Amino acid sequence: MINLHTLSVDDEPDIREIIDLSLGLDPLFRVRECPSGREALRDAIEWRPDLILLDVMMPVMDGLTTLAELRADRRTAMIPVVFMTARAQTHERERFKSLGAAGVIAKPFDPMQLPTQVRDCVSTGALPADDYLWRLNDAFAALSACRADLAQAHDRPTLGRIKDVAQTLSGTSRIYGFAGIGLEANALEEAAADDIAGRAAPMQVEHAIDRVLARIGTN
Amino acid sequence: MRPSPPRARTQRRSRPRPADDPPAAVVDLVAGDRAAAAPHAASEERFRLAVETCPNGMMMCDEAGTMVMVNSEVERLFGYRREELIGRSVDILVPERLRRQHLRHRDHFARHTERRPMGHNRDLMGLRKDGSEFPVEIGLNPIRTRDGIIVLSTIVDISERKRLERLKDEFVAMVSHELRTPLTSIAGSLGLLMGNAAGHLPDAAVRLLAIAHANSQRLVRLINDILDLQKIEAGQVVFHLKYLELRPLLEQTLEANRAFAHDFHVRIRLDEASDEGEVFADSDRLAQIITNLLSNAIKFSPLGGEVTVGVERRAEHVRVWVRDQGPGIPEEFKPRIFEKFAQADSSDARQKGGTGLGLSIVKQLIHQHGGKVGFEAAPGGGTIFYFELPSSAAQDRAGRKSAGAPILLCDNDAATSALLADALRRAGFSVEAAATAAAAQAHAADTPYAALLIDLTPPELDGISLARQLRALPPNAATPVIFFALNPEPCARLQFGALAVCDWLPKPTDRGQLVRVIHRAIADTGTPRPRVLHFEPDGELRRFLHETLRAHADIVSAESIDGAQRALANLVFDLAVVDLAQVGDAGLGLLKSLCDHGGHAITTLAFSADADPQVAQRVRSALTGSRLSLDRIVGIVRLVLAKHGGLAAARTEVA
Repeated sequence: MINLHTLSVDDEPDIREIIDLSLGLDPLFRVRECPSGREALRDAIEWRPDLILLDVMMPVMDGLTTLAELRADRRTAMIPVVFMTARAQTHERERFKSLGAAGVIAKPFDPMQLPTQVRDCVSTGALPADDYLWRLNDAFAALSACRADLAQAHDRPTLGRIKDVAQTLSGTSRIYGFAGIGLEANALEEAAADDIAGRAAPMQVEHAIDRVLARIGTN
Repeated sequence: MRPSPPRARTQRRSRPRPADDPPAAVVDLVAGDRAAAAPHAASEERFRLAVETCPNGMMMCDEAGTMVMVNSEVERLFGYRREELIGRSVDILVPERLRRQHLRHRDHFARHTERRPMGHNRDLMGLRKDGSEFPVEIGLNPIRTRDGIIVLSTIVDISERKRLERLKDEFVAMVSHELRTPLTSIAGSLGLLMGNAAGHLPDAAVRLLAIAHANSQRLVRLINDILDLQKIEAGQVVFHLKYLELRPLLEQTLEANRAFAHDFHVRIRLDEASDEGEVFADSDRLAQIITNLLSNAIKFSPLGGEVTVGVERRAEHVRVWVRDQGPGIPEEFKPRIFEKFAQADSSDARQKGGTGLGLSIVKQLIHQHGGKVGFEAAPGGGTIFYFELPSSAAQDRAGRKSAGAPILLCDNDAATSALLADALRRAGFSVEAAATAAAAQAHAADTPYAALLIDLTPPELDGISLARQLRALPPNAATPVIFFALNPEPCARLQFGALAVCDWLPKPTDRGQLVRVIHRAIADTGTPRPRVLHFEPDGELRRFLHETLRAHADIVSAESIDGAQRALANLVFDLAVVDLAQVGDAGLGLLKSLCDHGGHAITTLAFSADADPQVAQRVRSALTGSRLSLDRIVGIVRLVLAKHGGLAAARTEVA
């Protein structure tokens, strides 16, 4: 079972905990909590979530600003954002959607329904598609083999194979709604390209592979 | 021209008023001239004092907009001395950016002289001598004199009112957030406990939790209802009006309330004898109305009772009724039933878990839909609540047969907007009207329109940036734009870049012309589905995208470059979606073919690792380094669908 890595951003610790417990009822979700927009930007870059649940009214940096900054950064621009708001009036809902939000969930929410509501916001609906799971399996096997090959010989053919697998994985992950895995694969693709061009740091490709393997190998 | 002598005028007034005579609100000072033959100094002085000490600004202008009289409040409001104003154009009191708009108001007023507020529903601004601006409200009152029509304006500074409105909005927003936030935690925790998220609990604990949970839910509903009602009353609710079949909506709403009815041991059903009925309404709000009536009926039904819902089509309207088998409404309560927090028995709310606001929300919403709401005793006991909405007339329906082509109409003038929307609907379009840029964007972000119809009447040249913004939204990136303007010629010379302006319409427009222009712009009748070439080496992805896209277009899938080239040689395509990420140089050959497809370029969505900017420019294409999400791809295919049919192909721009 693959997890939808979900970053839950809310300044209220109580609400964060309820979201965590509520999404915990659905095995699809793997939740990380985050107390502010500023930290959300940092976590989104580091953790590469597939989805961000974002509170709208937060002190210092509100949800809309956070969304704008996420969109402005290449490393986070593709991650779908779902707003959680206590001000879910129709016109605001529309405005959030027009700003590119994948969905808007009104507060107070029903914690028993929240997992379904969040699933509904993710692009392909009934996640995860079997097709995609097969692809992940294939990519996992291919990258594991490449990882072993790298340990033997750090050569261009292996790096080329890694780049191809990563590129395909990155594209398919986005199409199937797993933006975070797409970002991990993208990072690996870039690392392999850098390495081929002789620009990579030592072990950069290995670390990137390990991240991808860890991400899709959680079953 | 000299005015008619008083005698002629008197005669004329004794006849029935001709159609083109000015409306009654025009004060006739000429008639008063006869009395002026014996001037009354004292009464004139009283009049002068009344004007002078009036707490509102008062000003008279002639037809050219030259100020001929101002009172001291005008001096105070604008910071000018009287002698600086008299004889000058009223334009100096209007901020530069609003002058042409002001001119349009004045022009319009001169042609439709009647007493009325200026710029209803618009923000009017005054300009002080020191350059500062302040919001004003202006009333216009035409007066006919020997020297032609002069206009008496009353000017009120509404800064304070605006400030209070803003404070109230902020307060409401604050309350809704501050009350809902703790409630989210309380209701959420209780919901999780009730859902056994913390394991099974003893029965006694569950009973207590149920009480706490139900009451937290009630508080949520109460806050939502209060805020909702406040918004409806303030006229801040935007209705998305569409033609709706009532029966499916009723069935859905019944279904959604079945669990609630079950809790009260009440059955709910649709009356078999219900008519088919169609109304022009906001579907979410209509569902809210029916839900409120249903929940009311359910709460007051006896155990084992039945609530019936039905539709009855009458000559001019459609009636929807909800019948219960409850105790009926006490006589003394009947007049207050739609009032806020009105309950027949003050213990009702607590017993039934209602908010006491449901019926007043129903009433407000129905009124804003142009309908009416009422109740009557049901034969054999119980009560029937009903509402009536104007039915969409039969000939109207016939006219909408060809329907569908959705048009977004952006015009902030409520009167013209309503007229145009009506004309378009009669011509068979489905119309969404947006009075503000924000509303237009909200619509255009979700719906691919067949055409964008935008008011560009100067000085609202903002219409151009609005068009750009709307076309930056994926569903409408290639939607034809039609501007209408008071005087289109100067506008037509403006530079629009890739806006694909299809046509210009003078305003006011005659219906026939409007409809012809739109048909020409969208040209979507009778043309075949667009054909899309889809090149994707990966079999699974190819099938996946094929399944997704085939609802929108005919898809020709190719798994190899050769296959794609063969398809291109034999068929005509409207769009190509090609994945060149893995094929290297071979892909360039395909791009070249797309670039010259029987003499013209095919709009192409290409995924490519190494996008050659020169090739990219030659193919009318968007090259993107990464694959897009499914939603984006579908969006792009749909926009090609929208512009399909002879319209100049707009460049597809993809981030």
